[in-house]
Amino acid sequence: MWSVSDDALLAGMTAGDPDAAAAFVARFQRRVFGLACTIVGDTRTAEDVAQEALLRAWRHGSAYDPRRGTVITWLLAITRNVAIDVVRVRRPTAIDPEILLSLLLADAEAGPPEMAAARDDAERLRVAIATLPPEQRRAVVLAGIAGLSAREVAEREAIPLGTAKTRIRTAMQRLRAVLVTPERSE
Amino acid sequence: MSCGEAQERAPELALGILSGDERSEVLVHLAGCARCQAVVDEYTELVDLLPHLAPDADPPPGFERRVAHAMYSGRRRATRRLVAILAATAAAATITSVTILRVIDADRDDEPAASAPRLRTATMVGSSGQPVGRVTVSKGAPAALVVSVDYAVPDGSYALQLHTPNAGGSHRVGTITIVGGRGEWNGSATIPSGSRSTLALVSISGDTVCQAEILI
Repeated sequence: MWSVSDDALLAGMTAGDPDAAAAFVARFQRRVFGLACTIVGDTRTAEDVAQEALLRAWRHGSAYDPRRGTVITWLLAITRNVAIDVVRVRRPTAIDPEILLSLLLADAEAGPPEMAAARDDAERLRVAIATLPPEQRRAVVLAGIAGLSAREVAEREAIPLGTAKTRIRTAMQRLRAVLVTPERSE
Repeated sequence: MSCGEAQERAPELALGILSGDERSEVLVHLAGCARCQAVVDEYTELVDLLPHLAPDADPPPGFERRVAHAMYSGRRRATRRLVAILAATAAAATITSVTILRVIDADRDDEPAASAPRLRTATMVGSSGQPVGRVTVSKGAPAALVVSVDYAVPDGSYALQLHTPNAGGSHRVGTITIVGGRGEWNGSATIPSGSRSTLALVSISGDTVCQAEILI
């Protein structure tokens, strides 16, 4: 089943094939659960988030558009959204950006070959984030991973709203400059 | 809104943390500016990459079995805290009609003057009256329309149905896809000036899940 492409697996699951659904869950559960753990911070809630994300993918696979990204990118976006809903109901400013950063900036596993392209880009992003000034690094992970608004980042960091916006925007501009290589922008 | 202003806000738009009014203004600008749209697309790619940084982790034993059970038993596991946390979202799945309309129009004038704002924003509401998104309309023929849904609408594809009582009734202007509770649609439609129109999200089974009343 591992030779089947991600797109084909998703299509099979969406068509109602239980074997495809089982293979889909087996293939992506570690990615989904890992992201959920990173954002919500405890394994019990992360399991609920991961299950909900996989169920949403199962129910709404027909909404996947390959022109907008890979299956894993789509699935992780769903996972992030579910996890952010959880974080938002809790106290979002209680999130510790240093813990997030320690998880996100650790060395990644190689992963299956079909995920190599995304892993390569992610690795460049990881290096780029690591080179940001610490305050920008914190701002971008709080907004980009935990889904905090600029106002919440300001509250969490005890800084003015304008400063939080500037940190987020400047960090994003720097990361974009690293990721948009000349050949990609042509 | 200028290109500079739109691109300044592009990172927050891509991150999904731009506030409602600013977000609508940027989206209207993007509907007519391919260059700024390309910038936003690059930021969106960057945001999509961020979750890839998270380390993999093994879920607890039995996770696959529990997910499969939830898929095919027709009964979702009563998951501890998530039930309460996501209750508001789940409640929206039962929305079948809309009884309450509310229009928020911060720029509203009793007598629109020549200098009246070109953008009008209406809140999309569900049956219990909760805001689930917004519609921004620019003046013009056709009018630029931006629909944003960010809360409490179940994932799936919905027809965007525009109802204009004084101008030929109801017609479909597009389709919006909601993924992970969020969705956006940019397009245009002919809306007679001074008319009171309704834009609704209609599910594949014909149920209206939310709608907004728009005045231009």
